[in-house]
Amino acid sequence: MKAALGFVGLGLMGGAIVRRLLEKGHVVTGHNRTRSRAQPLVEAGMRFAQTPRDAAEAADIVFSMVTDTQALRAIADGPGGIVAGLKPGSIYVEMSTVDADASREIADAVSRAGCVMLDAPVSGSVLTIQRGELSIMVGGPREAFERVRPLLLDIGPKVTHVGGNGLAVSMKIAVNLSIGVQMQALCESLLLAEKAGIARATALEVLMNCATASPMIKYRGPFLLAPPDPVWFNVNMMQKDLNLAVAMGQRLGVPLPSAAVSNGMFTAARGMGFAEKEMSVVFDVMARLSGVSA
Amino acid sequence: MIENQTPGVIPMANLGYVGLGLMGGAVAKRLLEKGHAVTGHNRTRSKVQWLEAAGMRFAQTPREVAEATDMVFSMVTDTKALHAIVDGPDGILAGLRPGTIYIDMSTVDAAASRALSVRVAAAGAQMLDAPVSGNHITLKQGTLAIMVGGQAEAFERARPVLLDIGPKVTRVGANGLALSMKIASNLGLAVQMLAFCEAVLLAEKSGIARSVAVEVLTNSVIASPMIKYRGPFVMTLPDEAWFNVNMMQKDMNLALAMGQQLNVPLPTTATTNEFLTAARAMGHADKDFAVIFDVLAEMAGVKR
Repeated sequence: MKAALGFVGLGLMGGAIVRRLLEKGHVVTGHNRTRSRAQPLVEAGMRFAQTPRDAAEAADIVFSMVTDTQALRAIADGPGGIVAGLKPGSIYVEMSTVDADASREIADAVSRAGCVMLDAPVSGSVLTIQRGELSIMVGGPREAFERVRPLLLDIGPKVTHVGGNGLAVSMKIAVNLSIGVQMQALCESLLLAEKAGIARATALEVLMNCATASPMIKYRGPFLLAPPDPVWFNVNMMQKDLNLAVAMGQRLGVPLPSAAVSNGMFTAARGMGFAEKEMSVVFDVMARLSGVSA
Repeated sequence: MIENQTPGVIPMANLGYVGLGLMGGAVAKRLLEKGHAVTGHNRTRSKVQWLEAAGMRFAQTPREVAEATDMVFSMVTDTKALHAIVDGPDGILAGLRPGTIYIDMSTVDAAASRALSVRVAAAGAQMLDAPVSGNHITLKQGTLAIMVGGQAEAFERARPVLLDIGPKVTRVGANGLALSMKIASNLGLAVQMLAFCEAVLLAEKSGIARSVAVEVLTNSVIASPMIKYRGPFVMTLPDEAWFNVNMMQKDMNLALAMGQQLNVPLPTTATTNEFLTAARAMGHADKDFAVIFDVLAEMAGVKR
């Protein structure tokens, strides 16, 4: 018998995961702050819950995926929150990219309620989910990890247990700093080639097929020619992750020179009015600084 | 010029190769395996006995290589080494015959390469700059990417031979532009590696085992081919550097000079280059540039 699932936070990523779980035949009760956004999922068979607590009460395993630490506290804490609704023995799988300490604090609160929390952030994009290629990192007790593993494998093929509570979000933040840095370096390469006299499309084609062409560069590279609609991962979100990395680096005593430089360019993007644009807009920042029209 | 030694199957060419180091030697070996006749020269002959054993003819000077062949390749370390093999009475230029194609695969300054192409043209021959993206392993796997700059007609003639070296051959424009493209793409190697090292140390000091962090990172969305093969070097450096700190810094310096000349700011390139300087200062100049992990680890108070 399949477990009853709950899901709180049905944005671009959360919504895509719920759609995939529904396609795999799971029963999902979901909640989103703005109900209208959940409508397509309701039409696909999802039950809507009025509060995060309702979603937790209806489920054996409850997931959440929200924007940042503050949004996580808003759905987890308080009388209408997830923690208040958890049934004994249920597992809470938290997929947001948030501060590791905040994640561990919530894990403690969940533990006091007689349940187990896992932090399970993902590496990938909406496209990666749709292609069934998402990788998921998991932190928390191994026994709970083994119980939810088959379910996580329904979401994506690469599921890795990295250690205790909070360590998966730590790993995720460490991974994500490279998204900012690699995109920044890609822009530097592209503008250098373009100003040397190589057509932008030709240079991009070479860069998307060379030794530095990561999956991220392969799917985001074309955004330098035409940004995606809707936006996948905006400048604010990218900077949130870089800020988490830089703060973590300072706390742990790990200097992060390339992350810090890249973060500065995302501050410039915000300063130039691009906060809500896809993070690849850092190309426009660099193009302006190079006297090139983007 | 290009004759069919195996009629109707593969066109074999009479090729020359000057500069048979780790990469050049591997390219020459591959050309021999594809059935081409190769005449080669290297400053130190003892280093190419393995190629002679594989059928390569040895020439005493770069000039003799050029005189004996229809298509001459070269691959050397830097602009200075390139001048040493092309200039003077024993250089490639002195031996070029009208109609010969000279393909330089070194990563050198684009302006120097362009100036050289003018002199090659004056000798009635044509030059292409054809730097590669990859390493001796990618080469052996047959997945090397080659960028080409120069005239389209010369490119079309050289193309079948270049495809025998690697499957991805792209003409990016006129003389010197393939080098510009190569220098632009190579800055990403060092920058991506520095960001990778930052991530490993951040994960490790959080309490995640280094091997687990490397495993996760080399399977994530940021895992470029370079990260997949070089990432594991933060566990154990290779005995022989694939691409040492000096070579990497040479390319970064070329990018930074190009950026200043063309007015393109390169903030992550400049930052990363400082870590290569630190690696040299700490005695790691001849190690694979993945050794920047050691520099950052030292700064983070972590043992390698």
